[in-house]
Amino acid sequence: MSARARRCAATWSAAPVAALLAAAPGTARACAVCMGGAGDRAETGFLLGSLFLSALPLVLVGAIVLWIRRRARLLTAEAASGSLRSPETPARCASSLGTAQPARR
Amino acid sequence: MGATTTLHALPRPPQSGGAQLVPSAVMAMLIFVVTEIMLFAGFVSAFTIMRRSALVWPPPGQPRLPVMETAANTALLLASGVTLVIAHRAFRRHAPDARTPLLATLLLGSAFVVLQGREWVQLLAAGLTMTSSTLGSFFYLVVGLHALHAVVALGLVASAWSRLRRGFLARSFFGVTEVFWYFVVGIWPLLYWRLYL
Amino acid sequence: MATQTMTAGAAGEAHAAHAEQTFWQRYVFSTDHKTIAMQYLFTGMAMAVLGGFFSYVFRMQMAYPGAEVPFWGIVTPAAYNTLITNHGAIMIFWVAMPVLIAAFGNYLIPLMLGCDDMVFPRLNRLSYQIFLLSVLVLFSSFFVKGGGFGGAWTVYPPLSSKAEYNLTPGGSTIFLIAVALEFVAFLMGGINFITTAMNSRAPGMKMYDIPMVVWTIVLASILFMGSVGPLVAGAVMLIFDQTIGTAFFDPNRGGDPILWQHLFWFFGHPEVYVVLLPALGIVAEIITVFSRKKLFAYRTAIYVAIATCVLSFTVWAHHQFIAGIDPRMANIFTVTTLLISVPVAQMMLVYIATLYGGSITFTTPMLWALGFIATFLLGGVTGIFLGTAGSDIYFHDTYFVLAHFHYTFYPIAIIGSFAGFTFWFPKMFGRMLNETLGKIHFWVTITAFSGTFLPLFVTGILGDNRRIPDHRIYPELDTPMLNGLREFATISMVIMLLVQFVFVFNVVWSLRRGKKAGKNPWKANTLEWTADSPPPHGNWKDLPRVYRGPYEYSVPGRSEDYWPQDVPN
Repeated sequence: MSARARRCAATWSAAPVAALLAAAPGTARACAVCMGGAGDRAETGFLLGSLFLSALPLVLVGAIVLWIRRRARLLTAEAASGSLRSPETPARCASSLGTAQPARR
Repeated sequence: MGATTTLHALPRPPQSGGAQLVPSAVMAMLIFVVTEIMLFAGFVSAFTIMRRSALVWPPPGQPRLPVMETAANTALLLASGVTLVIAHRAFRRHAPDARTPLLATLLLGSAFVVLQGREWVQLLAAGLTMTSSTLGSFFYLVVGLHALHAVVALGLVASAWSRLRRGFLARSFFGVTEVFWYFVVGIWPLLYWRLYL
Repeated sequence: MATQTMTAGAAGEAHAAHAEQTFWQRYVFSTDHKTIAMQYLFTGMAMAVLGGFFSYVFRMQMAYPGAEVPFWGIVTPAAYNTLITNHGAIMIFWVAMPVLIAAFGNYLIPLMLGCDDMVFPRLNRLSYQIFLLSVLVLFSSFFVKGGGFGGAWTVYPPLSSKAEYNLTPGGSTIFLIAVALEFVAFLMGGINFITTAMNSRAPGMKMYDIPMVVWTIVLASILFMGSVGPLVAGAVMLIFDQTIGTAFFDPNRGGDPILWQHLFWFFGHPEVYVVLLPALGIVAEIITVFSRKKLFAYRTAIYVAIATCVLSFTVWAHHQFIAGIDPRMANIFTVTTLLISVPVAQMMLVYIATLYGGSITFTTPMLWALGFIATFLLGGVTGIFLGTAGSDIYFHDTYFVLAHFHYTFYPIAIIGSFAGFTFWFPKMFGRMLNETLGKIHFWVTITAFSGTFLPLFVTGILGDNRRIPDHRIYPELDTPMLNGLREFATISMVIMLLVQFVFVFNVVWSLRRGKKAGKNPWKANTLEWTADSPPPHGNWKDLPRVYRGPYEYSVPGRSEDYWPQDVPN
């Protein structure tokens, strides 16, 4: 990924976050069926729990993917530099059989 | 299916051009551990929500969880994780050297399970049961689930140790054992923090 | 040891009579991925028949309340609850998942990756056996005291946790156990899919040479792995509430029923994408083959699928807008819900761009794929109304919701499965399906499907609540217009069920009399078309090697308009 693409991706991932923050209301309650409940503490608990649960699988899967990518990079670096693999597709070991990619997109 | 499926389970080695990026068994265990972490995350967030929405916490008339004794148990479990790291290093260097640290992991882990069991007996005697309060329900459910995982993981560690003693511990089996035990060790401080503190 | 495989079918047949392999070993306890795929496929189809029959019974009750339903009798309110609960659960957990993920995943992943079997064949077999066990456990719930579970497939407590509310004391616990077992089965299957796709690809096959459908099934498996934990946690808690009297979801004793909704939908909404993604992949394969064009923006399509997975973890609370959740949360989830329609819409645009300018052949699988796009778009668009917290407060629990999710799930589970089944039927059984019968089946099914659910959008907007077994007791819901629409929907639905006999006949007839398919009847590129039809045990004598991506159709300068992945040049 080039630096420009990276910056672009950062901008685009920041946009939804900004939208979420903008959408957070103060104390407006338009909900006709909202019950009294146990007060703000429970609601905040739900909110925190939701954020935690939403983020956790992404973090876990992301960490594993990054780890595998790093391993692939290391393996590529270790492997003979004569292989025809292009550096940005680390893919895997079996492809070190050195097949050219005639029709790359 | 076609008539050519007569030969059953041909023993053909899994196809791969070279070394696998991550051994299949370790990868499978990693995926399984992700699912397990999500399972515990479900319990922990449920407990957090329930605790926050309670008007009085901890529930009145219920015994307090033994924070200090469990802290000592936690230290035992963390120490078993450390000995497994030592075993990992030794295994890389010279496999038979991993025997002692692996045995230490087994013993420390077993001590943790036994001491937690003793804690359960005491708490049950003091009146904290599965149905006495939400604290009790969650405590026995989550800690019991963790204990179940610890026992299974101990079985793996014991099996790895005995394989190593007989001299045929495969690297992938050791890897699977390690991933699962690190999971058991790593999730516990989180449970301790949420449940006891 | 591929060389040991019987070289010709005749030799295999000669051996079959006295080989050491019995019927049981070959078809019931096989570790072969294709046999397991067939087991999943036919179990899923049998469950679809059951789920379809249930829907027939309660739709008849909707159109002709109180009348005796043929093949069933009078529908009591308790029976209505049981039927509707199990219809939902069966169609999602025991039809959509086994057929779309387990059957197509098991069949296609090794064949498309060019390997002989899954990485863990015995785990794979265990996966099916546990799945079958879950089916049997579900069946057993129909025969206990009180009958099958009747607390809706979403299992909301306190309705599900207290026998005095749902009136099915045994069925509710058995139902939860069946669902949990089913998850264990898919956990094993999913682990297999992901590991196989990672570690056993054919030599030369890089990440971006993997066909779309393998990508989507693997992504769906990852999504399933990441989301199923909290629901299992919730299910365990609910089983304890039902059986030993804990109070996790009982507000009188410190519990919280809303908590279940979070745990359930945390899995429940990603689950929609778990079944959607394989269907998207199947459609992508079919559209490229019958447009004779490269899949438009293949990498973008993969990124879009990944984006769908990422976003799908953050949308679930839109099911709870009227459950009394924090308004701050409702706003966040409205935004994320509307956001997720962007990648899905982009996927649709990928298909349309692939079709654009292609030389399209309207074969039966292609018709199903196009039907998927058309109907799923309508399902997606109606979701906008429900994803917005404001309008959802009005639409919630009406037939509008029901029509919306049937307009998403029907294209996914039924149309997507038919598309995949008709497309890979030649590979699975070595014979072609009859095109005329296939087209009759397609047109009648899709018309009757629209005739079933379009009226229900209207009844929903008119305020028809979807949880009422007999509308005659509410005068404002007993108007001639509503009744007419209900009757129309039911008649369409019965036609839709009846026309499935054409499909069954087509399959049975084609299995015996169909034209021999040969290796590659559709002239497709992906690796499964280089194996025999049906592929023998071990799939290939010499495992293939991959030289290019899967969608090289109509490449300029070649005499043929396709370029299989395993042909060197």
